Amino acid sequence: MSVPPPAIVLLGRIHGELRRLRTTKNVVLERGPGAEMLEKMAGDRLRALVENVYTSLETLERAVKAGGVTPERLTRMADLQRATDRVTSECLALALGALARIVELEAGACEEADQLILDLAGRINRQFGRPTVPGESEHLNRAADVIRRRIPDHGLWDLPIMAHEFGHVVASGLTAYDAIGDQVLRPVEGFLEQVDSSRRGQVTELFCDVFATFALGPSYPCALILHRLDPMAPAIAADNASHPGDACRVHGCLWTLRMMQRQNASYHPYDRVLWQLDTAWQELQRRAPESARLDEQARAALATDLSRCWVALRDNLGAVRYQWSEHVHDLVDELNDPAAEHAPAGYSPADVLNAAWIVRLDMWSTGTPATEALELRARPLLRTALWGDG
Amino acid sequence: MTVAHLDLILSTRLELLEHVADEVDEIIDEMTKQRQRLSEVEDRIGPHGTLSISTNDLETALGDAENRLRVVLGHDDDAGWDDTSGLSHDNKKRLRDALEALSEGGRSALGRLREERRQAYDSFGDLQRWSIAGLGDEELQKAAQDYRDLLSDIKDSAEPWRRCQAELRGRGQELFTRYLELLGGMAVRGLDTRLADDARAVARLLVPPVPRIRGLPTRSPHVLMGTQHPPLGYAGWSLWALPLVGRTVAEHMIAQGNVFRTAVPAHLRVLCADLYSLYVLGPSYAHAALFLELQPDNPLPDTPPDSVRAQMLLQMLPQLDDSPPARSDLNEIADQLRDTWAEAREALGEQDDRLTEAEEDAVKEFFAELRSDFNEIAYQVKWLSDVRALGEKLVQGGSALDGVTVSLKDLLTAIWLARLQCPGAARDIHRRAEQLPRRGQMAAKPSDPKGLARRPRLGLP
Repeated sequence: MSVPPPAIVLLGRIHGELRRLRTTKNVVLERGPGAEMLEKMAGDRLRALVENVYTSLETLERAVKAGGVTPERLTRMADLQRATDRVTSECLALALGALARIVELEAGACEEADQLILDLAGRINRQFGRPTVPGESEHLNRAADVIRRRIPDHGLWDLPIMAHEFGHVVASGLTAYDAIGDQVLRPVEGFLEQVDSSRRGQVTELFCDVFATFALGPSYPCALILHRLDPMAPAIAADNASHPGDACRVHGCLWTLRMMQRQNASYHPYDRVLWQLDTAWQELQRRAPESARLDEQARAALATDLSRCWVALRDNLGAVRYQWSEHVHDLVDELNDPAAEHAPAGYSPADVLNAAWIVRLDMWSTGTPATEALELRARPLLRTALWGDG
Repeated sequence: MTVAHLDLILSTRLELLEHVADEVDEIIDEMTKQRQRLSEVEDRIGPHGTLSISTNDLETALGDAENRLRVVLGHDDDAGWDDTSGLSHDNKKRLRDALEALSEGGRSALGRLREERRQAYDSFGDLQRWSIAGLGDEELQKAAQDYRDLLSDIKDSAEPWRRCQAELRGRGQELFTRYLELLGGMAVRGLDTRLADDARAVARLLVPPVPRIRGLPTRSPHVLMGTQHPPLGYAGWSLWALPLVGRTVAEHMIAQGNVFRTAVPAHLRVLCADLYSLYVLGPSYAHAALFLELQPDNPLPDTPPDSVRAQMLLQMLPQLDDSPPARSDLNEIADQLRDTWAEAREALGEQDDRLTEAEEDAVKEFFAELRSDFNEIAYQVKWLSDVRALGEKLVQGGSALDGVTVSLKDLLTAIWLARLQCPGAARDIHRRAEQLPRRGQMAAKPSDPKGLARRPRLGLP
């Protein structure tokens, strides 16, 4: 009895993978129910991804046909199979996300996130704007450049997390012209590349925390610290962890907020929220093991990374910096007493998010966590800030 | 002679008094302008004015025309018509008709013109009688100059506080008496509606949203004059002193007996009214009371004395908010006020005063009630940082204030913080603050065309 020759087996695999990619392309990008939306969001990128792997498989096919099986070709085949997995999985995830948006499974959360990201991107470069789709956790997918928003999340309260994901787009895409050297620099990527590769991922995440705080003000630290971070988690993450330790991230956000109000000695709009967040985190950590707390040595170690993040933002992204506005004051009054119509004209989405969090923190402090009612009052204000009165 | 150092409280009071003297000058200028206008009225429509003269000339011309016609017709007043003219019957009739029309119609029109002039003139006469322009200004000018000289002497004296206490009241009273006449004159033209709106707004801030109180005291320019303090000028009509309106309202609320649960003994009413105003209006009340109202040397045997009221304000100010950042902000303000107050007391040889046990207990109990039942109208310390920023903008002026709208509560504290930060800019700060649009208040009525309502107003201790 004859056995199938290795070259035939390998070619069979190659054909199978090619068919998977064609199916993915046809179903997801051309004929599927979410194809139109996906096309608008990331059609070109997804098509390029599929075609890139497809072309590599065809090249391998020609090599196998011409020269048979070699150990290198088997390794290459394994690599390309994994690549096909990643591409199809990303396409399917995005297709599901697009479908979820079409049937409004996410209740408008992604549209809201899109608009917030557009608002931030508009202050830097509109090309940085990225669409969002529902996902099981927030992240920016490098392959498709699409941001996932966790659905369901805590609604308006978690919206600031989108600014962190947008920070990833900025980190990799920001360029600046250096007139002295007559060259285009990548200020954020530039400093990240200087970081030891084992720490680069964590420092990038730290940068995104600093960026989100820088761009939105207190609402980001509020959402991150009070909704997401684990007070019991080790303060210092393992080297292979994707994110810095939770206590490091708390420190990073609060440090940034302090830096933002440092310019004016007599003007400290964030003192109160800094104290509230710091105290709340310390209270949450009261029963945590010693390893969950950030010691002085760890703080000192973070100082260099934080300073570099700050300098990169201060020097290159001043336009996106959140400027504390007296509008917040009026919006807080409006949220506390909607009947009185205190809302000013011209407030930003970040103003609304900050005002909502300030009211919520004050409510928590007095033991009246009327979160849902508050969100209902804040939503029309957010809508006005994101889309205008119309 | 050694010139003593002027502490901040005394220098603030003297500066505001100088402001009064300047304002008197402005009123005198206004009087001069008004007098010129009224003089022009006299020249034109007065009994011997150009209109009267022209009317008389017209009457003469009319009489002349009548005579000429009569001559043509051959009319003799004594003998009646004498037909010697040689005119045809028709022409005579025409000329007689013309003479009749001229005599009856022309004279009737002249009479109406005279009557209209008289009525118009009388209406201005009425205005003249009531206007400030009808007042003599020489005496007032002299009084203002004497007053300014006195302020200068006080500043240069070795013991300015004592000199101030000994001399200012009598002179102040003297100027005030004369000034009041002017104010009476101003009153017939209407006072500045903007500050009146602010005064009403402050009173509203003091009243809880739930209508627990009825019949607020009627706003009166004399509201702050019935105290033991120098009744010099319209103290209430200045943003610096406006927070003091709070205490009057609060005393009224406490006196009603059905607004607060705490039973406040009559002799401690003023202390609790101070506390209520501080609780609602925040640091601006402490500033206005210490800088403008309370006397460092307790000149009158009041219960509680001014020094105790001041002590209570300094003690309670940092307690308006328990959070450490707010405490830190409030402590900073209270420390500055405490030092300033202590300096003024020391200049008069006075020591720190303390609240008695009964006063402490009353204050604690009343404050506990405010915190539990009147939270909705409490001063929001969390915005103090914004208030400081507003103060800085008021010092900067110009485009820094573009698009800025303010709540009155914030504004009253902002002007005091800005003033202490930059005393030399006090008048600019006040002027800019007056012009800022208020949030949550009705729009100001259009100002009077002559700009009188835009004049600075008095801010007096």
